[in-house]
Amino acid sequence: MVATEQTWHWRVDVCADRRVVALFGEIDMSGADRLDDLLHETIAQAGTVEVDLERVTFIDSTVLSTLVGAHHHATDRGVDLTLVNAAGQVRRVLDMTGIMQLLGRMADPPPAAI
Amino acid sequence: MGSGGTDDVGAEWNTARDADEVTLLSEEITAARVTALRHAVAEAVRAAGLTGHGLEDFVLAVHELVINVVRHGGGSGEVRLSRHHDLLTCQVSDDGPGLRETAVALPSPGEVGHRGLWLAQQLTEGLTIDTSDQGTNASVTARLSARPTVNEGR
Repeated sequence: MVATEQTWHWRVDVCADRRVVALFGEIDMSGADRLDDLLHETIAQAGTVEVDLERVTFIDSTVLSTLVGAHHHATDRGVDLTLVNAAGQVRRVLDMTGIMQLLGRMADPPPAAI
Repeated sequence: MGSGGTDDVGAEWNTARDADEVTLLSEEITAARVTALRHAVAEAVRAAGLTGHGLEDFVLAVHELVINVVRHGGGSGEVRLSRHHDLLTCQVSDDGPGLRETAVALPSPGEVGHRGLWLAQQLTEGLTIDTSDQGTNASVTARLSARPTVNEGR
């Protein structure tokens, strides 16, 4: 049996009720289940989850589905999940599918009027 | 050449056309090889001269067709990347049960799933899908003409 090449890894930074999940590398269909587990675990522990995509160089439609699914799961639990720092093709794909508008910082409540 | 039993003009034309077509890569699709296959496609497409966003987008489009085979096309199939002058074509085929839904539309941002074919279409010059209960043939194309060295008059 051929072992699947590991093309990505992650790190979670903990700060009180906030978690930053930093992802690194190329994430595709073969990593989507593991990413789903990671996001669900993190959502269970926090009130705010930021998924830092700065160092992610590839995602596919299965990962888009995982991110959208995690967003729904977080919203159901009253957890705020946002995507931050997406760049390059990852950012372009999130923008063109409208997912960045849904899961990006623009989802934050507008600042109070002064 | 051309001494076969056919006197079909269309077939001869196809034969002539095929002479200019170069196969750059031909690989089997399996679930375990999806990532390695993407890397092989990227290398071949880069070697053919596609760069930047064009390279990244074509590779993602091919990858989406490949994972479609793994998820809906019976799990195995074939990828064939070819070049005909400045046109790159990647054909992804399987002998699965055929696609039930080939409408290519962007789902709303909150929907889980169904973005693969839309991405493949958006990220390339064109997506063609030919599906039946005998299997599915999907292909995407990209032009190499963005290269600064291209200077072909007519």
